[in-house]
Amino acid sequence: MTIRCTTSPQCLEAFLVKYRKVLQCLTFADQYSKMSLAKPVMRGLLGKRLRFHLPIAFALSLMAAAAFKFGVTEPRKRAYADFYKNYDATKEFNNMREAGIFESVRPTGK
Amino acid sequence: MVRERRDLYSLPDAPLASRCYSHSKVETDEEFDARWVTYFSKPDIDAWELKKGMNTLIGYDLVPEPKIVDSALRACRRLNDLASAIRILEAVKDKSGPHKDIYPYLIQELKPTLTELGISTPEELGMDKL
Repeated sequence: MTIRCTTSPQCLEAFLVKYRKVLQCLTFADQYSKMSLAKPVMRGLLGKRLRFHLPIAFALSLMAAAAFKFGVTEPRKRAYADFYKNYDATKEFNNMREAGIFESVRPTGK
Repeated sequence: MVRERRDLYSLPDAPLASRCYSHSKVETDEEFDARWVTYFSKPDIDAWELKKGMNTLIGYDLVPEPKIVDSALRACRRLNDLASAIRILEAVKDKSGPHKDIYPYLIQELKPTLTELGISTPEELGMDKL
């Protein structure tokens, strides 16, 4: 269904000129396409960031330290303790002596 | 030698502005802004005071309000210091950090002043690109 415009070009032009600003507003054309920006938050931005990130940073650091302690140092300490629990120094010395690594004592010559 | 006698009490300086809710009176945002507008509005402000004021202001955890920046730009005009004026714009852009909506808002609010004083933005001069 076609609509025929019965306004004369001159009338149409006059109308457009007169109501240019209104039309621009309605169609968001030209300078009205950029709506005036709202005021953003401008204060306390770093404080907000720190309040969010610092607890996380501390928590992660503590978790890393705990993980290292219980994943590395404790097993290592246990391994040493276990090794030396029933360690016979004399027996080990004699084994080393027989292996011939000492200079101060020679192997019990046979 | 000249700087010894500098009246540092005229600086609207840190202690009141830091928000530690202790025994001292807490300054409101409006009072803070008014103080800084007054500081830069001094008719016979000198270059040192302008630089000192800006450096102090940039040290705070805030992006200066448009009216403070406006006052500072007018001080630059009185001192015939276009370089500092453009630098102030770069500084407030940097202060906004990752918040990309602050600088366009500031420029929007400052547009009349920038036009009046004939200050180009760093973007217009192509200085925002490395």
